[in-house]
Amino acid sequence: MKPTKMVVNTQTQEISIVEMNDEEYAQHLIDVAAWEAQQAQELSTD
Amino acid sequence: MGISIFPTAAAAAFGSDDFELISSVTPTAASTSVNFTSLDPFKKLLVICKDVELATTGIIRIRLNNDSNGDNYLYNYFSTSANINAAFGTGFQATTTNTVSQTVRFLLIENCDKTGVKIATAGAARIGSDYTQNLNQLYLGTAIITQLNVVSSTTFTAAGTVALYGVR
Repeated sequence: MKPTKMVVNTQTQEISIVEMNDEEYAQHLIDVAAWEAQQAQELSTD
Repeated sequence: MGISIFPTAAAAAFGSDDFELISSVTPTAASTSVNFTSLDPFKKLLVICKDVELATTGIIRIRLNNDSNGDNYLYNYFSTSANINAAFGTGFQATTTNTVSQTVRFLLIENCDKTGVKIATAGAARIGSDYTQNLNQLYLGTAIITQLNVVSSTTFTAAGTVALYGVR
């Protein structure tokens, strides 16, 4: 099961919780990896 | 809705613009992002994350039109050494964050209703003054903004509010 995302339609104010699709999940994994890389770089330059 | 509910520092920074509240939500626990869709064209958009918490230490990024192209996001920031770079730039870096509450983060984006470069200013301040942070950022995408995405590198808890304001 993939993580969920929250969608707010600003025209109707309807809120829905939906599962990420494959593309979004792939981007999420990239985000996690980028965050870990950023952490590593900040630690190395402190 | 007027500007009076803004944090004092933010209100001072944004002057007399007539910001209206577009939506305000508490993130759903375990969700990875809050996505404001179907936006009317606004000249300016302002995101305020107040007391939002992540389940584990991570980062909150803000994307425009769900664009994760890192080449489109540029920022500079003040630190112990001067930095101007596009690293980690798959979205505006609202700020690094963690599980600390009582924190306000905001991002003001200008030129949202034009097909040109967008300029953004981000700030963060923890009540109790552990830290403040300021980032000046550019978005090189040229589309009018119809969607704004508040994206976590981990997951949100059901805490705090993510509010989106706009100036027409």
